[in-house]
Amino acid sequence: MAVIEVEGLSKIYRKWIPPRTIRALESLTLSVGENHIFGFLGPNGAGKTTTIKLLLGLNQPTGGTGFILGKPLGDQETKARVGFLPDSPQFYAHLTAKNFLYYCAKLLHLPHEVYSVRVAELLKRMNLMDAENRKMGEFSRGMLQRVGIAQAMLNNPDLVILDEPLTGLDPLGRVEIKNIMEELKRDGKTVFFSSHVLADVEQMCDDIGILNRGRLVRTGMVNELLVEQSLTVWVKNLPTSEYEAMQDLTDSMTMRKDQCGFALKEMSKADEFRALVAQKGGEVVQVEGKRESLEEYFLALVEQDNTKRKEEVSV
Amino acid sequence: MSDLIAIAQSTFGRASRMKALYFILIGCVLIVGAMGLYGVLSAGRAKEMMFDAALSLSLIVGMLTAMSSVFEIPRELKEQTAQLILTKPLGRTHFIVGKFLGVSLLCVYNVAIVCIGSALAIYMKYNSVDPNLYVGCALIAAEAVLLTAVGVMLSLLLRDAVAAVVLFLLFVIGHALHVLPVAFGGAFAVVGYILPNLYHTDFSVLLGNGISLPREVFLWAICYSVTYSIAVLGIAVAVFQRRDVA
Repeated sequence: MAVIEVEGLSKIYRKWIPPRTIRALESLTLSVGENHIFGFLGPNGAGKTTTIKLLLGLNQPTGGTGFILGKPLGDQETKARVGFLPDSPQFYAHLTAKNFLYYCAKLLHLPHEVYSVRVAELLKRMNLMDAENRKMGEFSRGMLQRVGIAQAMLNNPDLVILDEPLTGLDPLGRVEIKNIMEELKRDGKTVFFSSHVLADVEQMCDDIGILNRGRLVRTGMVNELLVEQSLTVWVKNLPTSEYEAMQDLTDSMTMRKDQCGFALKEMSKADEFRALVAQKGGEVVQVEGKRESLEEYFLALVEQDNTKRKEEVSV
Repeated sequence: MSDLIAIAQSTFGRASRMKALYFILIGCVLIVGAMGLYGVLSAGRAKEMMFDAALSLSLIVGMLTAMSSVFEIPRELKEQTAQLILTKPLGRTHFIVGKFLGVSLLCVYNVAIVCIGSALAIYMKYNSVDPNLYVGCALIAAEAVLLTAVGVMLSLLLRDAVAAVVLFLLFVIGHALHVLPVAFGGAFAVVGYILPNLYHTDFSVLLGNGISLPREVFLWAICYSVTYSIAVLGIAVAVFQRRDVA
C-alpha cells in the first residue's frame, strides 16, 4: 500500500505587490511505499517544502489530488498518524524539552498517563535525559532537532515527514539523526524527508525523488537510478609479460600486493576480459564495480533539466 | 478542548514573559500611588485624581497587552511553531481561538494587577476604595479583550507592524465614534456599527464622578464586547481557514 500518493499536484503562489505568480510545484505525481525511507531532493527553491506543506494540509493545492495513508490531504484524523518536523524550527525558548513535549502531547489529545510515559521514553531514546529540564533556548541545533524528532514521534506515527532534518548539523549530529531514521524504518514506519546532504541520502534511502524548479525530474529506487559506471577486475598469477595483452580492453592498471587491478574500458567487455585472463594463465580474484555517486547523478540531472528548459523557453 | 486550553496556556505563558510590560505595570501602580502626594496641588481632589489615574493607566496597560495579539501569530509562523501545531489533529479554529484566549487572559490579568495595585494605594491613603474602580477596570478588561480579537484578525490580514498601527488607530477612533456623526454627518453612524465602538465600554467619566453604573448598562457593555469579539474571531477563522501557512 502506498503511504503517500499524489497525482498532478500543483501549487501557484500569487503575490500582489508587485503582482506576479510563482509556479512552486507543477503536476507532481509521486508514490511512497510503506516502510520506506524516501529522500526528497532538489536545489533551493525547487519546491520541496511546498510539497511537504501540501502533503500536510498546511497549504492548499492549486491543482491535483493526493492521499496520505489512504485519506485525502489535510484530513484531520490522518494528522494523528503523521509526525512532522519543520525546517529550522525555533521551539519555545522559555520551555524545557519535557514541557514542550507535554504541550505537543496535549495537542495530540494523548491522555496524561500515556504521554508521561511516552515523553520519558522519547527523551531517553533521543539522549536528552540530562537536558530534559533545561530551557530550549540554551539548546544546540542538534539538540533542538532531536527534540523536534521526539515531538514528531510522540503519537507513534505511521508516517514521519522531516523537512531538512540534517541541515546545519555537525557530523555527529547527522549520524544521530540518521540512526533515528533507520530505527524508525526498523519499527515499520515510513520516513519522508527532504535534504541537501546527498551522501547521507544515498546511504539511507530506499527511494528518492528529485525535484527541480517545481518539477519532478526523476523518482525511483536508489539502486536502480545509480548505475555502475566502471568495473575493476583484480587478477593474480598473471605473468607480467602478459600485461600488455590486456591493454586493448582496459583503461588503467593498479597494483595491490600480488594482485593487479585492471579498470575496464567498457563494462560489457567483462566476460571477454575474464576469458583472456584465463587464457593467459591468470586468475580473477574480484570484480569491483564503481557506482556513480548520488551527488554526481543529482548534479548531472539538474544541469540536464535546466538546459532542457532553456531550450524550451528559446523555442 | 484540551488542545484549546494548551494553546491558550502556552500563549499566556509566552506573552507574559515580556519584561517591559512588568516595568510598565509597576510604573502604573507607582504613578497612581504618587497621585496621593498631590493633595495640595489638586485642591483636595487627590482621591479623584488617583481614581482617574488608575482607570487611565489600566486602559493603557489593557491596550498595550491587546497590542501583543498582533505579534503572536506572525511570531509563531516565523518560528515555524505554528506549522508544527497545525499539523497536529486540531482545527485551525482551535489555534486562532487558543491564541485569542491566551492574550485575553493576559489582558485581564494585567488590568487586574493595575486595578488591585491602585486599589491598595488608594486604600492605604484613604482607608476606603470606591467600588466603581472595579467596575471601571472590568469594563476596561472587556475592551482589551475586544481589541485582542481585532488584533488577532488584523495580524492575519496585514504585516505585524502595520496591524499594530491600525489597531492603535482603531483604538483611538473607537473612543471617538460617538463624536464622528456629530462632526461629519449621519453617514458615520454606520461606521459605528462596523468598527469597534469603544464608547460602549467607556464609562470612566461617569465612574470618575462617582456615578454608579446601572447593572443593565454594565451587562450591555460586556455583552457588546463579547459579541463583537466573537464576530471578529469568526472573520479571523474564515480568513485563516483558506490561508496558506507560509
